[in-house]
Amino acid sequence: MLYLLLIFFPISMAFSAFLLRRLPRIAIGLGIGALIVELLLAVQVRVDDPVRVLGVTFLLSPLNQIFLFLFLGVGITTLIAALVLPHGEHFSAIGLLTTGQTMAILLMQDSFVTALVLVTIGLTTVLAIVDLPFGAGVLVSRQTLVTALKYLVLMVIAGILLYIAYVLTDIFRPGELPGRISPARFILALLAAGFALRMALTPFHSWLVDLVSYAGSLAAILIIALPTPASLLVFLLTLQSFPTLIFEGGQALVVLRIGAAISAVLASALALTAGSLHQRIAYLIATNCGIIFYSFVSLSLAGLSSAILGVINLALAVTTVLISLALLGYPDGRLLATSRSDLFWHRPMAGAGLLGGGLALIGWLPSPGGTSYLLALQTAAAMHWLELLALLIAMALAALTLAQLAVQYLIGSGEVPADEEPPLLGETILDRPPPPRYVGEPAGVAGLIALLLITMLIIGAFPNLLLPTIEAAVRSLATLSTV
Amino acid sequence: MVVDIWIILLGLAAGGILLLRDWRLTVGLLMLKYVVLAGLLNEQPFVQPDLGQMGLSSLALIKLITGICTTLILAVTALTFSREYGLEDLDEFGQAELRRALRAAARQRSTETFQLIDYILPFGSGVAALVASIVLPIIYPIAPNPALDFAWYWLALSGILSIATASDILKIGLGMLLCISGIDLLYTAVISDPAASGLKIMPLLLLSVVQILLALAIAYLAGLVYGRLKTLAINELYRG
Repeated sequence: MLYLLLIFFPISMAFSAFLLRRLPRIAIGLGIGALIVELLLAVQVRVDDPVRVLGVTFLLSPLNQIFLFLFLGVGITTLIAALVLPHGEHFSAIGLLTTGQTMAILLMQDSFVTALVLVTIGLTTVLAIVDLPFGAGVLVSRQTLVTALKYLVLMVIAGILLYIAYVLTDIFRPGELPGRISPARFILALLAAGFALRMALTPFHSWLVDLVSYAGSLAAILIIALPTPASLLVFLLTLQSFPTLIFEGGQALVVLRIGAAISAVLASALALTAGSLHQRIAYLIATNCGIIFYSFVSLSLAGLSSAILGVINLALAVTTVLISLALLGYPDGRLLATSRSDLFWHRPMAGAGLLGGGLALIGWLPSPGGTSYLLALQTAAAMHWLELLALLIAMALAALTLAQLAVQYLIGSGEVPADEEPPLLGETILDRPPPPRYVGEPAGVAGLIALLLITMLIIGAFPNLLLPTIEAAVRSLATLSTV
Repeated sequence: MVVDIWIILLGLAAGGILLLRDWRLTVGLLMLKYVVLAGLLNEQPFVQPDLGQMGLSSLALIKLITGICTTLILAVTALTFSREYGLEDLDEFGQAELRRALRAAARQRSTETFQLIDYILPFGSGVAALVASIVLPIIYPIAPNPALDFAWYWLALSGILSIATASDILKIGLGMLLCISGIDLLYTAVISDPAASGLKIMPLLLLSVVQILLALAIAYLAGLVYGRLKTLAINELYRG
């Protein structure tokens, strides 16, 4: 009963938030309240206590419990930020719906069903991309519409690939039909392509770059920080449910590993050459996803632990970076639009969030990303020196990108005020637009960024808070892969 | 492979969606496709007729209801495209942008004529999909019988090609719905096999929910694009 409540309570509250959408603060307050109640419910759930409902097993494992608290924390933080930062009319409703669906992924132990829920998350969150604030008085931009359409099509295609893979796993019998292409390899290829699309691995990353560039930052958190880690958990559940894929996968797993390493290198190279702040951040996220995927498909204990810790880091870092980006643009985006190089001095907390979150994304210690990257390097060193080299190149290019980004946008010298242009013929001083008025950082959002940074520092400094639980969850799979 | 009336109708419905451009025809063909799919499933030996004396199965009924919901969502959206929503909140820049879009759409419509060349790519890709759908069940059979294998391959391939050759957003949506229908058919056929794990209510329910949600998402996006550009043409999205 508690499992169903965890899924359906936020979904039902989403409908209430939808009805209150024209009262944004009340809708957001309702969303925060609902997620706090959800958190209290989550505390009551007993770990490893399976229940079967409608042919599906519901279970909360210790690993999924960590993610449950993580996702609720990210959801609450994002909604609190939405009290101050600009957001869409339906943001609270979409946030609650997404949370409910993510809870379903964490609790259901059927990989086909969880893959279906992943697609429904895609269909829900696409609305957040085109969601304008209440009474905005502007039209949705063409780029935003293209972003939404691209995201929708790619997520549906990813879902279709996963569906076919899951149907095949149901009829696949090991050792059947010798001489034909091994169904295990075909299934692994379908799964890898599906999850690569969902995790924005290069060259399937275009939706992520558009999303960070053209959608609202808070909406982007809902789309990246919740479904992406959830996708990796679904992949983990899939391999745990169908271990024959690992036995028969053979060379396919090596190809996946090399592909993921190349993807990380490509994404980091693109990050270095990207044209805007938003694009650079998107490519840094794609680089991180590539390294996480590499660690995951290595299927070693260190690699799987690195991947799980990596997605925890990804959720926290993406939330920090995107809230900081939204804060840099507060209240009307004018500060970001002026292409300044001294944003840090105008918005110190937003700048610190962008740098701190960026450092977590590129795996610098002390952050969960640092531990995750160390484990990834350990995994690569155990595999092949070329793979280690690829990861090192990706990490170095990502670090270079962050340094370049900091100099170009954050800690550059202050702007020299431009000379005032003489008035045009017939123009008076009253005809000129008023000078931009820069307002300070709202204390609440600055506090949220500080809280996120402290959380990452604590997890980074004391990884043993999480690592034993993570290792216990993935040990069986790692053991299987070594057999 | 036994070619029965359902398979022929399914081929025509999906092929028509791939080839045609007028939403009145393609949305009608989508409904036809759902009816045919329900009929095809209803006559399969693994589907038990469990609804009274009419030989109907609840599985076929579920597919039919899903199809009615999906088609209605798209049809009602297409019928109400001309309505304007929330224009009173728009600033003068937005209103000027809308007037420009209206003029551009009117210009485009006035120059739009029937050109055979527009249909060559969808037709060619349809022929390729048809050949692939006939050959693939021989090379890589997955479903319990060749007719079902042909049906799901044809639905999935014509869906993918509809997305690839689409010139408007509604067509992309129809392509995605075709693909998911193909997977729905594959899942139902494969999982119902005695050697497989058996049909479960939750995946069936979610497959229907996904199709309805997808229709809603497409309807919402199509409404937004039409409200913004006064046309559904994809090339207009990339202009300017």
